[in-house]
Amino acid sequence: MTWMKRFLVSAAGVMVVWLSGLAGAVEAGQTMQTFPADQPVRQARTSWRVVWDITRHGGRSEILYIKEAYFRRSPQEPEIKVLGDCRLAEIFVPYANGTRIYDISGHNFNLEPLTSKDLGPTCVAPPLLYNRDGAVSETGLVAHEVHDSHLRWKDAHGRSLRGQEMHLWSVLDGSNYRYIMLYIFRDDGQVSFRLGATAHNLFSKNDDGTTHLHAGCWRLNVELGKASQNYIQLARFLSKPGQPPRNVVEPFNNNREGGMVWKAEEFPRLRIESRVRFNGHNPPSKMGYELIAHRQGNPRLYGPGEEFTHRDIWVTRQDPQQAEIHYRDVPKYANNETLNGPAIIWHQAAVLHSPRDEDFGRNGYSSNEGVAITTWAGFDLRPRNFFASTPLYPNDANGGR
Amino acid sequence: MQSHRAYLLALFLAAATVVPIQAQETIRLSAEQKETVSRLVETTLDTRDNGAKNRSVRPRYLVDVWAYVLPSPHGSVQKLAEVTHFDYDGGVTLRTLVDLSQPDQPRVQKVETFTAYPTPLAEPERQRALQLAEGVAQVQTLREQHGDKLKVRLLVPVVADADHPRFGHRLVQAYFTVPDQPQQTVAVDLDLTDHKVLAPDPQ
Repeated sequence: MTWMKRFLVSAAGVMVVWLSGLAGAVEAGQTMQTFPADQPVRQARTSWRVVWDITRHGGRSEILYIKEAYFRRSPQEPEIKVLGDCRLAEIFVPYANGTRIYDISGHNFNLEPLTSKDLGPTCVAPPLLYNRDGAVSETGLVAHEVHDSHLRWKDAHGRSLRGQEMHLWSVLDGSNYRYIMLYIFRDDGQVSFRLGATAHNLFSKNDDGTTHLHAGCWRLNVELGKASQNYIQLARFLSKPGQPPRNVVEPFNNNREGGMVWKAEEFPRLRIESRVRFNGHNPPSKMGYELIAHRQGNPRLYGPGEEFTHRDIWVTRQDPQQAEIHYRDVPKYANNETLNGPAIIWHQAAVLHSPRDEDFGRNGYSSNEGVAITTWAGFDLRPRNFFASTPLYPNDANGGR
Repeated sequence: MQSHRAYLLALFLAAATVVPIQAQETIRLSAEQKETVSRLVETTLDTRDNGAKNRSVRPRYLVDVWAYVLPSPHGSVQKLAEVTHFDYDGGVTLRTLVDLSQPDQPRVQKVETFTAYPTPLAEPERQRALQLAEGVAQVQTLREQHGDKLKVRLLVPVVADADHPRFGHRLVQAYFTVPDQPQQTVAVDLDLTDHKVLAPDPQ
């Protein structure tokens, strides 16, 4: 199938608009994805409109980032702005031997061109590639795929629904390494952020000194209509000997800037809730999203300036005086000021890579003749009381509002 | 078909809505503007040094100038620039924040000093790294065999252990690759502070 045919086939669910010239310096791609993606648009039940762009984060390495993302819970209602500027702000790779690589802030790396060979097969809808300007192209820097995402639900009456999700992704050429920046927008409103690490090891050996982490460090603006009307809470599931477990929800860090350690035994969730937007539930619930972490472990480094690794989630207010974008400087940004306006969430998720024979070539010690299989780090933003009822369930007559 | 057209029209109208600036947006400075800002920062840093440093031995390189606009909650915007230097005297990164809100009068707001801080190479450092790496026998062999097909990427690691002998040094890994021939790759480790090839062993 030629790229033009592919474009026409998928036009029912997808449209890309070049915004250059419409908004001053703004140049971005815009992707509309309706769900089910394999049905005509008029049968759409939910949809995402995602404005994305490529930029040099802090003037350094290129990143694919989400500029804005809007979700429509049902065809009968207007879209709701869920995300503002959300981006991978750093890829931090600390080695046991003391070496540190900062792939975003320490370099001027570029996104790597993708071709059809990099794309998956036509799953729910044909895959597409976009060029830097957001136009569909045979080769490009941004991939768009729509995949099946297994059973979205299955009830006790023999009914079930397969979920669908849109993937937007790019690959950073980080010298010996390649990093996949992946954003997943699901039909039920969930958004997932992933960093995939692959390619050639830095060292052609597998001793202890070569063990390293790949930490994705994200900077997030969750809008829920208007970020200044949100507040941030920490929800934990606490249990103590002799007491029944309970769910405790408190203002994050007493509503002040700061960081938190993610304790696995507490199932911590960062809850972003609107003060003013309610769903259609009876009684109405405040609309929100929760940050759900997926962690192998919590990285902790103790070199100069590595305090940013000592907390797993940070929350800061948006500083009107200076762009606070350097993940390594977050402890400086988080100086205990009151969170009373738009907040920025900083989250790191890391994978441990202890090189193994599978990473190397036939001689077993050449990092150039083999590759490290992709390992993923990331987290989810999951709707909480964003819908009034189970999304995409047959009896949601009000469209889940 | 009609609903399809209506959908496309609605989408076009949505796209035509101006996207407001809600985070820092990078702005491009002209070469002249960059030069003005850089000169201002150099003067500030020189004054701070008070002429006490021997720049011929331990140079200070301008790494980059990143300018951006920042919205304020009241709708106005600030124009700012971050100017980054690497100073071989002390092996530190200097970041200077410059207020560009009045185009004719850029103003230095603050200078920060960082150790073991992620910092790309300045152009003169890049040239020096390439010159050193191209002198390595294995690279010369590759160059003879593959000429301009050879691709080189530079990785700039940082040492985070304050007791390590190369702490504060400007380290580079030059990564030479030949398209579709991964076994031909040569990685050269350099120390620009000591002007030295670390690996492969130059002997």
